[in-house]
Amino acid sequence: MPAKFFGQFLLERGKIIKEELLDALEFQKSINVKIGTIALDASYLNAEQVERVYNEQHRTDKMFGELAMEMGLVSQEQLEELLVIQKNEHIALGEALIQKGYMTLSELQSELTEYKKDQEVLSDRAYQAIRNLQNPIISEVFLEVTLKLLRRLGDIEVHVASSHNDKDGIAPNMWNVYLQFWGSIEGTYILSFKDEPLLKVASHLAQEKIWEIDDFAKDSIKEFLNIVVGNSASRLSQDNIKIDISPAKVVTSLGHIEVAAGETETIAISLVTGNSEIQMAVVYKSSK
Amino acid sequence: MSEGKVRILAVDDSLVTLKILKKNLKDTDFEVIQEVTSGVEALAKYDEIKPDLVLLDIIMPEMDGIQTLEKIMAKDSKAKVIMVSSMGAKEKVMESLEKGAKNFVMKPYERNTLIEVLKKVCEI
Repeated sequence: MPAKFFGQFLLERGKIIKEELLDALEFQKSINVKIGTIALDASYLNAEQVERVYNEQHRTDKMFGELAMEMGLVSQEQLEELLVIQKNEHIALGEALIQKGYMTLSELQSELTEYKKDQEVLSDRAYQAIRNLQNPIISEVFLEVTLKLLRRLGDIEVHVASSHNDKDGIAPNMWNVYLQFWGSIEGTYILSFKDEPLLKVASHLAQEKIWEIDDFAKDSIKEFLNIVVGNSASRLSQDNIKIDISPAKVVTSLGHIEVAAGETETIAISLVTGNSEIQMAVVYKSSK
Repeated sequence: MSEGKVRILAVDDSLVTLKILKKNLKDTDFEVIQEVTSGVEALAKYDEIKPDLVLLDIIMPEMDGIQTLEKIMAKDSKAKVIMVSSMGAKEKVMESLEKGAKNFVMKPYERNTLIEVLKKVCEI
């Protein structure tokens, strides 16, 4: 479940241009994905092996899978797996780019490898901590992106210590940064900080040491939330959960956090870093 | 494009982001000649400074980046706009491209990625 759309990943890396992407996206609707491309994505075959099977196919009238097995490149079990595999969006786009001649098989293989490296997955340990929570997709995505970006942008390693579903137990610390979202789901995402972790994240993101929680520090930590929730929204959209977001706000423990009215569900997860704690909470209701 | 550096209008409601952007573009072919923190200011400054390139955030209060993009393109159909946003959902990327953006950079970005995209859009 990647955060970034594969087409945008390729655009950003300069591997294709806008016109090629638009053309390939239109074209992918009308084509069938070849088993060779699926094998490439599953890393069962490399580009050179797929080419060899295609070349062999030109001389015979055999199916790709049959030939790949005869050539000793895949096992019966692997072939069966490839035949039923979910044809996800990045495979379909890859196929369209190849058929249109915008990429070679070997370029696609290399880009798929980089793409997967870029899209880290959440550790089993974190999954276990939220297994029993309501609406696991939302909590998984927000947690996964939060952990990844605390590490990458905030230079903070955290681990999941505990979780609960009590709306009265959210935002326990002095500084509460929150952001509202709406669409398929309406709700509020909150990170609750003590001074030290907030300053660490704000400083690392701003690429300069920030000594006190002034307007610049608040601006930095709000941008951190915008990025976390924006990246989460991108990922959720791939599960057809569409949300839009408004800019983040900062309040102290005395301030008011705007949360959705009516019946809501709450997920609060305590993330421990050194001798401090950051709490991530999401309060939401399903609007569909 | 005028001689010398590519003149950029940077639009983002985060001062931290604008500061980092300027730092990232130091000693490159690009220069932020004007920074603004809202879509409304961006429209006013666009007419005034006629930048070579606009870097535009999406999540902003009042007028968001997509609305700002539409208004810039209505003023100048040849405008070069690159969206720089944390919202990288396929729908947002496609909407931006269809409404005239030349490319889309997702936050958080690597400095080299940004510069490569800028060079590509400006054909340098």
